[in-house]
Amino acid sequence: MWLVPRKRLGTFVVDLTSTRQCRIPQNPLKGVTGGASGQKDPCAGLKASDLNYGKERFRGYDKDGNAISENGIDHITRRHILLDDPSKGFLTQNKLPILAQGSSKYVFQDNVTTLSNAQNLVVRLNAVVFEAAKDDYSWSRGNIVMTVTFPAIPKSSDEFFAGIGYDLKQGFGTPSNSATLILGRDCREVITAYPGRP
Amino acid sequence: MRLVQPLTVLALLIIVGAILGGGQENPMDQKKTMPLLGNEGPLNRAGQSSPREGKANDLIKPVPVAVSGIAGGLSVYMMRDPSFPRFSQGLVGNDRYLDTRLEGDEWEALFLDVLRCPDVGEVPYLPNESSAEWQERYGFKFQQTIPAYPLLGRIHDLFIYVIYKPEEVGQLRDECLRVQSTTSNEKALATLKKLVRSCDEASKIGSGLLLAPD
Repeated sequence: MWLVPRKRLGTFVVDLTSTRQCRIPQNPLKGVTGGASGQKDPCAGLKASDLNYGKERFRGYDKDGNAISENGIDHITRRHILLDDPSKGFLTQNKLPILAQGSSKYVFQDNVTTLSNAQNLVVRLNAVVFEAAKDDYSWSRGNIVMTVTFPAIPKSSDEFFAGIGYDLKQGFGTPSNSATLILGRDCREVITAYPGRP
Repeated sequence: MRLVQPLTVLALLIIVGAILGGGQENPMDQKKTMPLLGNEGPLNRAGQSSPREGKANDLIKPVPVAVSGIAGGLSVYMMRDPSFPRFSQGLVGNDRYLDTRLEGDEWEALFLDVLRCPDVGEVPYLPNESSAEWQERYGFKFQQTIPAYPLLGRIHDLFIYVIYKPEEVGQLRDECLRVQSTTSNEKALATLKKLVRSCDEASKIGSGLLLAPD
């Protein structure tokens, strides 16, 4: 079992502060290219199944000047499912990082043994994030940011499901119960998703 | 009086005991946890009739979290041969994550506040313009704003990879030092310091840099 050090249990307590804010109208002028006040909510009427993980996105230029293109699922897999050394696979509760990683990483139950299983689980998680936050999201430089926190879910009388993965900003000591999903301004294109907060 | 003192001592002992007893096991502390992502539990196949619809087990009740500031960040890696295909295959040899990140608020301080680069709202979409076309146009405009800093200008977004070949690291360092001398913005200065430190690390062994997005 994945024993949580006692002192760290606090991290599994849901942060209920400031979660009641209605954030769609927030739309700070700085950085808004979509969803500006008065415009139609791009997420209205959409379902999680509308999320597009396959759309190729411009991700900068390579050293030879060629454009780098990467779709959502490839990016999430490369940066947040697989370890920095992809040959080492992904994290599970009994396979935790030894070396510092350069990005937040999801953590899976030990029963997840294939990459496609891990990817499917992240897609399912994001679907839950989307449905929970599609009416309560933020804008950041023209992109849609959805962040949610998952309360611990009872498994049995003395066991819980808790922890999405490690948030790089919090370090690799305690798993985070939060998950972030970042979408393009159409509220469909998946740019990235990772455990923890933006 | 004689009674008061022993009682006071007893009370103190109880208080001290209670404080130290904070270490007493809380029933919650005994609980074992299992990651949410797995084939057992609320996200498993059986428990979800339509996984991609997000209609998970009723037990999952996530709470939206208010976030502020600019989302995203760039992790800085030192790579002898920095390229996207190489990075995708994994780090080799002396290649490593430098334990350095440029966070959204730091990027904002440096590029929007100090260098006065245009934010996305200042480059509106043209009719029928695709997001890829817009990204290219925005990046061009961003870089055009700071012609004296062409290498810094590559960091025009927080969701892109930025690559500096080994032979460009010295120039990047120089650009950072020049901006440093023109500002007192503490956050921007801290960001520049991170970049200079990264350049120094990379230069020691003739490596380049790769900044990777979240």
